[in-house]
This record gives sequence, C-alpha cells and structure tokens, in this order.
Amino acid sequence: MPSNIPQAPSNAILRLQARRDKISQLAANEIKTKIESLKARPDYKIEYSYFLDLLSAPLASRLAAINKPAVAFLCQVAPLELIEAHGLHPYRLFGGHHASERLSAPNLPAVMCPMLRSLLGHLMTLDLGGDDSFKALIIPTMCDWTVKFDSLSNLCGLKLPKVHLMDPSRVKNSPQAPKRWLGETSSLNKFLESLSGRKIGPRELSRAIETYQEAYLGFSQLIDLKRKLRLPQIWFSVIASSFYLDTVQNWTKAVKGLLAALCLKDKIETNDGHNKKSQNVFLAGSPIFFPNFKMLDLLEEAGLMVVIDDLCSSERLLPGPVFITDHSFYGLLTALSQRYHLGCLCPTFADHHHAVNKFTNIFINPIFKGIIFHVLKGCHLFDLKSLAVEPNVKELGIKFLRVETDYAKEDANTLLTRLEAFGSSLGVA
Amino acid sequence: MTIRMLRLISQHVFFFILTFSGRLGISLGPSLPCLSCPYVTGCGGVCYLRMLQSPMGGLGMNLAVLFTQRGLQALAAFGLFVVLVALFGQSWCGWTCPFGLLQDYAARLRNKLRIREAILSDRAMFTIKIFKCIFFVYLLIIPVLITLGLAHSDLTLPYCAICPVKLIMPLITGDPTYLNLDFTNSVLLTESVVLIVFSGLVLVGMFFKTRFFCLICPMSLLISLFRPIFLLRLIKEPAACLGCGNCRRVCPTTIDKSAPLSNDLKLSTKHIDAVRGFAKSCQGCFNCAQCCSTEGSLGIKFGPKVIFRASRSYAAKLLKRKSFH
Amino acid sequence: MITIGIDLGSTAIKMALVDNGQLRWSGRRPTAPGQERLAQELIDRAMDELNLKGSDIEGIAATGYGKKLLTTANSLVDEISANALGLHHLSCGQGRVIINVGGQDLKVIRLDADGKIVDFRMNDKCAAGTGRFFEQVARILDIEVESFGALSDAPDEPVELNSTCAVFAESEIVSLLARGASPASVIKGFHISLARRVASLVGSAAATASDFEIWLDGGPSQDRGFRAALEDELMCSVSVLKAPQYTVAFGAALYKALDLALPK
Repeated sequence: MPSNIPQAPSNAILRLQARRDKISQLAANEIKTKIESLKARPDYKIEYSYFLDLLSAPLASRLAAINKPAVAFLCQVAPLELIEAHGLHPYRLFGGHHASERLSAPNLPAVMCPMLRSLLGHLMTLDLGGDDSFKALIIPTMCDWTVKFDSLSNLCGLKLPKVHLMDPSRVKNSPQAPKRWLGETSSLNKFLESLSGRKIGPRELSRAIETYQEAYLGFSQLIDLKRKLRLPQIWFSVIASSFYLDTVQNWTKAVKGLLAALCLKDKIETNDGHNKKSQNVFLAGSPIFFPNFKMLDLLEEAGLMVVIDDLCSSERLLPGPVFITDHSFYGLLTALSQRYHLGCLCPTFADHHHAVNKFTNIFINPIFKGIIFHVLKGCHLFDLKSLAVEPNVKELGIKFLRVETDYAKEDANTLLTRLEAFGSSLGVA
Repeated sequence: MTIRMLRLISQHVFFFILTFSGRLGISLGPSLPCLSCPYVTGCGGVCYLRMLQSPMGGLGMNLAVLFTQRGLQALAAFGLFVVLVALFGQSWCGWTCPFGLLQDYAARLRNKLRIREAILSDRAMFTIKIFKCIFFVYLLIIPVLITLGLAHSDLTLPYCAICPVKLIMPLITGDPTYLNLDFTNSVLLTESVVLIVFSGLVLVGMFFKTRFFCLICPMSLLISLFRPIFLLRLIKEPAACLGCGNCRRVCPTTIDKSAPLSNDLKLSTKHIDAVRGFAKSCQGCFNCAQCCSTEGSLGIKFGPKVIFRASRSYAAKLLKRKSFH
Repeated sequence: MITIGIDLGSTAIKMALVDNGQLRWSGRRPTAPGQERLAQELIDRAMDELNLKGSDIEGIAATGYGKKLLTTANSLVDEISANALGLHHLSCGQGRVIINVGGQDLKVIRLDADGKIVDFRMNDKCAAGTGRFFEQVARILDIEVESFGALSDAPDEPVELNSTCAVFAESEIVSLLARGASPASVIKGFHISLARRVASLVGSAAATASDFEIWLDGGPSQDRGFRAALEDELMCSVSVLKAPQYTVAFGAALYKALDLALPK
C-alpha cells in the first residue's frame, strides 16, 4: 500500500484533536481568570504587568520571542548558567493547569504527581516538534516520576525532542557525590556542545554566571521585601514563575524596576502593612506553580502571611551566591555543579539533616510562627520529608501543619478550615 | 566596607611595613607571628621563628644566660608572641603575612590565565603536612644539639637557612644575595642547595595551589598550638548549616566546614575544629564566614562577643562587589 | 452577656445561646437550601422561647462550612477552634483529645491543659467514617440512626465489614444481609470498622490518656455502640457529653463572649 498518499484524518483523530483544543482552551481560560483576579487585587502595581504578560502569553510565542533556541529541563539541579553559556535559553517545564490533567490522566497511573500529570497534559496540547518549541529536554532524575518521564510521555503519545538524563547522586553526603555530579555536569556540557555545535571556554561561562548572579541579587532583594511583609507570597510566586519566560537580562531589569517601585512606596508610607499581629508562616513542601495558586489563595484567605518559603518554585528558584576562587573552566564548572547539587534541599537526597536545619534554624525563627508543609498527593518524597521534619520542629515548640492536596479545588473548604484553625492556634488572630 | 576589603588593606599595609619600613627606622620587634623575614634588607619586624632558633633567645640558649638580662628579653619576646597569637590567632597568616600576600598574587595570576588549581588528594595533603611537622621538629632540635655540641655550629638558624622566604622575599625587593651556592663548607653548600631547590618547588607549588607554602609552614603549626587560648575565632552553628559548600570553595586551604563527612550525624574532626575555632591549617581569612549565605551558620567571635554572623544579605553584598569573581 | 453561636454544618444547623458562660438554649434543624433564613428562624425561635429582644443579644458568631453565608453574624470562627473552646469548657478543662465525627468530616484535636490547640488532624477528601456513613448504613438497613445504640446491645456476633467507604460499604452490607446477617450484627460490624478508622487518625495520642481526657463529640457520638467499639479499639475510656451535637455552636458563642470581654 503506498504510504505517501495523504489520507483524510479519521474520525478518531479528529475527535482527539477536538478534545485537545477544548482542553487547551480550558487551560487558557484558567490562566486568563487567574491573571484577571491578580490584576483586580488592591495591591496590583503596573510593574507587575511585565510578569503577568509573560505568564499569559502562549508558550510557543514566548519562546519564539526570546530569539535563542530553548532547552527545557525539569529540575533545577542542572546548572542553568551552563545552558546560558552555550547560547541556549534554559526553560523549566512545569505543569500548573488543573485542566490539562484531564487530557493526560486517562493514560497515566491513578496515583501520580499532579504537577507532572498536568505538565504531560500541557505538552499534549503543544506542537513539540516545531521551531518555536524547545530543542532538547534535560531531566535530572530527581524522583521516580522524573526518572520515568520519558516512558510516561510515551504513554501519553508524546514525541519528546532529544532527552538527556542526569543522575543526581542521591547520597549527597558521600565524598564521591560531588565528583559524580561534576561528571554529570561535564557530560551535560558535552551534550550542549552537540546541540549548539560549539565549545565554550571559561569566559563564556564566567559571563553566564555573572548574568545569573545579577538576577540573584535582585531576587535576594525581593526575598528581603517578603521577609518584611512588603511583598505578598502570591506576587513573589508570580515573579518566580515567570523567570524562565524571558531572557535573564530582561527579567532582571523588570525585577529592578519593581524593586524601585516597591521601595518608593516604602518612603511614602511609613507604616506599610508591617503588621505585628499578622500570622507569619513558613511555607514548605512540594512546589506551587502558576496558575494553580490554590494553596496561596487559601493561605491568604485564612489570614496567614508567608514570610519565608522552601519551595523550589519560589525562594529556591535560584541556588544562591556562587563564589569562585578557581577561574579556570574546570573551576567554574566545579563551583556551579557543587552549588546546584550540594545546596539543593530537595527531599530526594538521603541526608535529611541539612534540610531539617532550614526549618529549625534559630536565627530565622523569630519571623515565623508556624510551618505549613504542602504535600502534593503522589509526591512521596515531600510526604516522607514532612514526617521527618515534624518531630524536629515540634520539639522546638514550632507549630506545624501538614496539608496534603492536589490541583482540584474540591477540598478548598476543608483546607481552609484547617488553615484557619492553624492560624488561631498560632496566637492572637 | 567588607571584611574582605579590610583584609586586603591589612595585607598590603603589613606587606609594606614588614618589608620596607625598617628603612624608616620603624620596626615591630622580633616576636611577629608571621613570616616577616629579617633577610630582607630594611624589614620592619622579625618572624618569631628566628628568635626561637637562635642561641641568643631561643631553645639553644644556655641555662646560665636565662637569668641574665638577655634571658629576660628572650622570655619577654616569647610572652609578646603568645599575647599576639592569643589576640588574633591564625588570622596573622591571612591578614599580615607578606609571604601569604605573595602567594595570593600567584593565585590571582593563575586565575587571570584561567589555569585550574591543582587538587591535592587527602593522601597528598597528609604527606605535605608531615613535612610541616618535620620542619618544626628540625628547627626545635638542631639549636639544642648545637648547644650540646652534637651538631655542626654552621647549622645555626637551621630552618632559616632553608626557608624559601629567605630567598624569595629579598628577591622581590631586588636582592638576589641568597640565590648563590655557598661553597664555604659542605654544610653550608647543602643548605644553599636545599634552599634553592625548595624555593623553586614552593614557587611552582604556590602558582598551582593557592597558599601552597602555608600547608608546610612551621609558623602556621606553631600558631595552631595555641588554639585553646585564641580570642579571635571562627564559630560554626552546625544546626543552621544547609551544606551548600560555599565555605569550602572559598577556603584557601580547602577546609570543609559545611558537611560532616560521615554518613551518620557524628561530626567529623574537621567539623569539630570549625565549631571550636580554627582548623589547624586555617588562615584566619574568614572568607568562609563571609561567603556563607545561611543565616547564622558561620560567624566570628572575639572573646565572648560575636562580632560577625553569616547572612544572606552579607553574601549578596560580596556578590555585588564581585569580590569572588 | 448573651451571645449566640451558630454552627452551619453539612447535615444540620446548630445553634447555642450562651448567657454568662452558661448554655441557656440550644436547637438544631437539618441543613437545606436557604441556610441564612433557616439560621435566622432558629434565632427567632430562641428569642421567642426565652422572651428576649434583639438588643439583648450582644453578638453572634458563625462557624462551620456555611459560616460565610450568615450575614447577620458579626464574628466568624473556624470550627476547630470553636470545638476546642466548647469542649474545654464543657469537659471542665479535662479534655485533651477531641474526636469529632461531623456530617462529612472527621477531626481529631489535641488540647493542652489551658484548652489551647496543640495539634489537629482531619480526614482528607474521603468522607469514609463520617456522619454521612451513619446515614448511609441507616438507609440500607431501613432503620433510624438513633436506634443504632439500642440495636448494638443485642448479643449478635459482629460481622466483618471490610470497607469504611460509604459507597463500597453499601454493596457489602447488602450482600451480607442477603446472606442472612442480622441488622444488629451488621451495626456491630459497622461500629468496629468505623472505630478502627477513627483510631488510626487518633494515633498515639490515646496510648497515654487517662479517664476523661478523650472525648467523643459531634452528632453520631450519641451512639453508645460506637463509643463502646471505640473504647475497645483505643483501649481506654472515651467520654461523651450529654448533648454533643451542640459543642461547636456553644464554643462559637463562647468565643464571641470572650472576644467582647477582651479589652480592645
């Protein structure tokens, strides 16, 4: 039978296409509604519109506007600076739409990370092979779901571009771990060389590091504002979620503009909401991605202010300052790989004690009154971490609430009850 | 003003004082806990190791001399040395030592050329540190043996004779005196050959490994013996550490203050050293405390008072100044 | 000082009128559309029966899932805090663990000696083991929920009921009945399986508890068979209030009274 004759698409394919279109419309509406509700907030500022615009644009047009080939990745233990140095744009894949889950769920395990389920659904609505899509996918295999991401996407009928897997030595404490991760980083470098078709030297890498450190400086100031209750978590998460959607330079510029605006307000209003009575909490656990801000909305509704968080979608977005004393290519790569790997507090790593320290650190304690631990159903690692952290935290007299949920809104009421009760157990409301 | 800036200023000021100010008649005395070499013409102070080896005021001194004025002077010099060490601990190495600054510039040159730093294996580190002990024992024993008549009298100031600082520092000031072989007798010839070879090795070493000489410096060992009485010390709050390893990467002698090395929660020896004050090969530069971006994990204490605590904002400040870039 | 607490729950609206810390009136009615009107009718009834004027009421606090629907309420309080406050007072400060079986949720609240909440747990999205389950079983057996306690006094051996899920239990119970199991044995089996689920939520808190520290609360706690099964499962004594369905409403009223008494 000749195969080169184009055949009319069968009814099944048309129906599938219609379903895709319907769900991508639903997902687009989810974003639109969220953006509108954000714009309607009394604390909305014109400087936020840059970040909201990034989030509301369709991914393909966003990536096309960046003018660099995009390389997607799943978890940020892969040094972004290395991707940047190769003249590529690192783009973190994440799933935040509840609607997209409906597209992928029939093909996937019943109990599964909602974030990746949503992501797979989202990818199903995209044209992955196209020029305005990403060239390759880098997967640091941080959890069972990411290590199987390739086969999960096969189940969903996705054809991923080139996939590069990285093995994060999960026993971070062993003396071999940093060496292994450096090896993984070097092979990532080789992979990127094959993508970009050129080798890079210490100068390119150095420049990329400086670009990211500049971004971190702005980001760090945003964290400062959040600690002082001048920047609500919702806006912080908006800014963090949009990090990958533009060049780092543009994003940094916008953050600086926002900082200037927020600090200007600071001078006019002496008492700018720094409320001693507010219930300050530490938000930890599974990441929270735009547009699914269910937890953040509920926290606000319950009157809880997030002053510090430990989410890899928020404050752990950038690994922090990278100080370099060896400026050779090897030295830069070592510093980067260690900074990303050793500094990562993901519960995938075997040693819990450094991650626990973040919760019990007596030097940051006074600013928060309790810890809310967000666990996405199906995320075993954070589930386990919450159990490991709880006794340590309670021993110090810090209140702790574990909240297990997913992207669906059906449990909003009971979650709110819990959050409110937690708030009133923290002290004067 | 960051601690790092203060340190750079201090290093340069001391370099000029200790190397040149003798010409202006300024001298900081014979008890300095850093390598201020008296073989540099016009030096502004003398390394205490010299006093320690000399028959005039050190271990080789006759007991009869001890109770004369000279003996009292020697005791006073020792007392002053102890006080100076107690006050600033191993920071003498990182903040004042002229030879230390020279090594820092060698590292800077290496970085300019984007040449990678040599990584010494734990075993190599151990071997090198054995040399440090050998030098130390050598400089303590020989003067005593000379006094007892058991060693050749030309071995006076045994360590100074082979110390690379003796050759390199005068060379820096344009004085190549010690770059010659001394054919007077076999002892002096051997010493001068060792000096030249050793200096050559150190010059190469300090280019490829930051502060290479500090790993074998007997002064660093002598100072570290007084660790229990240090007033200025590094402190570490193990319960705050997030293990990012920033401290280790900026440490000139690669001391890891971040992670207990064993898999259980017991602290490694290095870790305990960091908790207690300084590790033995610490230079007291406090790069680690400054680059630690975890609130309160590392800090600096003087006596009972905490004078610095690591914080995210301080690390950001360093970043802004591109202090380590 | 007279305050009113209204608990707008998923199955019933409960109201308590508190005068100087004492419960003076309580009433309830099933939840139906128009919750605000139903709640208002309860208030009116109480005022009629007690001969009170609108100005006598110093404050109304609403709690429960529907609390935001009640526009006349001048305070809102979450039901966990209200429950803790109410039970702390009604148990004369003895209660340390509250097991509240609500219409569609299950709560375990731990208190300290001052009645402050130490910790609490709730069932997740699933309504297994809640009041809804009681109604479900009553419907299948075609008997009243109120008669469960009396039925469980019968000497019948309990059946083994594997499911606490209201949906799956239905088919299981139907097939048990078809195989000739008596309603009493089904109810006993139901009590045991429910007690197991509740016990798993209580966790280790019960192990060290002494008498009058563990309190069963909420409507279904009037079922003495369930209480006995729970005591058996937890291996300690479990206390019940006389009118457990009003604890939360009472707590809310008390919350309002305390709120008003506090200097602003």
